[in-house]
Amino acid sequence: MTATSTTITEIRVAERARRRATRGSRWLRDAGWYVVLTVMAVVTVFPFAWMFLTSLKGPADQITSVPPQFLPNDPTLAAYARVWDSLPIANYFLNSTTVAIATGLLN
Amino acid sequence: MTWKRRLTPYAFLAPALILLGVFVFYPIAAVIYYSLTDYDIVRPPVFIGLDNFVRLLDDDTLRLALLHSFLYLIVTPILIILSIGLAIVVNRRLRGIHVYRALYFVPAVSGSIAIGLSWRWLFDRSGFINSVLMSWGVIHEPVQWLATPSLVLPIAMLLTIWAGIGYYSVIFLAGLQNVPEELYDAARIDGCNDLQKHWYVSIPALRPQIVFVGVISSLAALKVFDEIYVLTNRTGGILNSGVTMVFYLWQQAFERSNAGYASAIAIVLLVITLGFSIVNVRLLERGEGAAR
Repeated sequence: MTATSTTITEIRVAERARRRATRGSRWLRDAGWYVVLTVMAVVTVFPFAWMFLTSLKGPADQITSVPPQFLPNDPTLAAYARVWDSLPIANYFLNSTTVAIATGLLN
Repeated sequence: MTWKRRLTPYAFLAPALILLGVFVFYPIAAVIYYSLTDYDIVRPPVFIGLDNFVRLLDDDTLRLALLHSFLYLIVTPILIILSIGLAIVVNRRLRGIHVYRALYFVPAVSGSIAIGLSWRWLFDRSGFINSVLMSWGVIHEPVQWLATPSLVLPIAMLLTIWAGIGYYSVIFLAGLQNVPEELYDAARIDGCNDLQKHWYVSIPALRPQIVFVGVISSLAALKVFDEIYVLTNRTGGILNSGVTMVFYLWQQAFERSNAGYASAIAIVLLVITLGFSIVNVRLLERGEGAAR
């Protein structure tokens, strides 16, 4: 480019001045990015959040309803207690940990 | 004393070679052997020569599985584009960006069975997606998402994309952070706006990562199994609409007890993926050579 001889310093100074002059819109731009990021975070985390909330639902809560019920009105840990009693979860967890450590070491 | 020095490299190689031999080379040799036998895992294998491979040629379900596996490849370009996009967005210096990066990575560390199951419940006839759509009046009766043959593969692909974006974007993010600032400066001098900056600087700089992600994700797409297994509850979908190569292999080996036939399928899969990776790497590397 031979038209105008500008140094990168001049360009950076000009950009910084332009950004400073429109500081309000900078906030708006950042907020816009936060919205995008949050939407994507919700989409990513939603299945897990839904499973977690469903696991806390008590006998009075609807698991499948139209419209879907997000928060349990009757939160209880009974489901977790039932799982602990009916399956050797501690054993499973120990197995998983052993595999994880062994794989990490072997790598 | 020199024989000890000559032996040392082999001593270092020995553990890895032994492990590789036992867990990689021996199984491959065993599969090649079993593909020439009729083996139902309970009784000893019976040698039948190339009968399995002849049977392969007429197998309609195998053709369907091949088709589905190759259709699944569309996941790769989608993943590359979306992951690069996510990496660019997440590369900004915003406060709390690390929290977001961690959140996007959660599906990658969650185990494919767990996320597959959670998706199956979401798409169930009485699951969340139907509930929301019905409460908004978009549909009046629950849609049988996973029981609709034409929807099984797309839903599985969506699951793969959703889970893969967080994982692959980390790779691209690392690549982006290694791009020297001078390149962006040069672009700004030439008058680029933000979008052009990324098109002309970021993406070409990410070429090695694009090659890597392209090869890895396309091989994973050809070998997809977990999503199909969980979403179709081991059935492969109505009318075999979700059957892919590895799923068909598993079905033959463990549900029909045709381990010999399954081994023949495995050989076919091996040849296909081998050829695919060679073509893939050659094409992408040639592009890189041309760019210089």
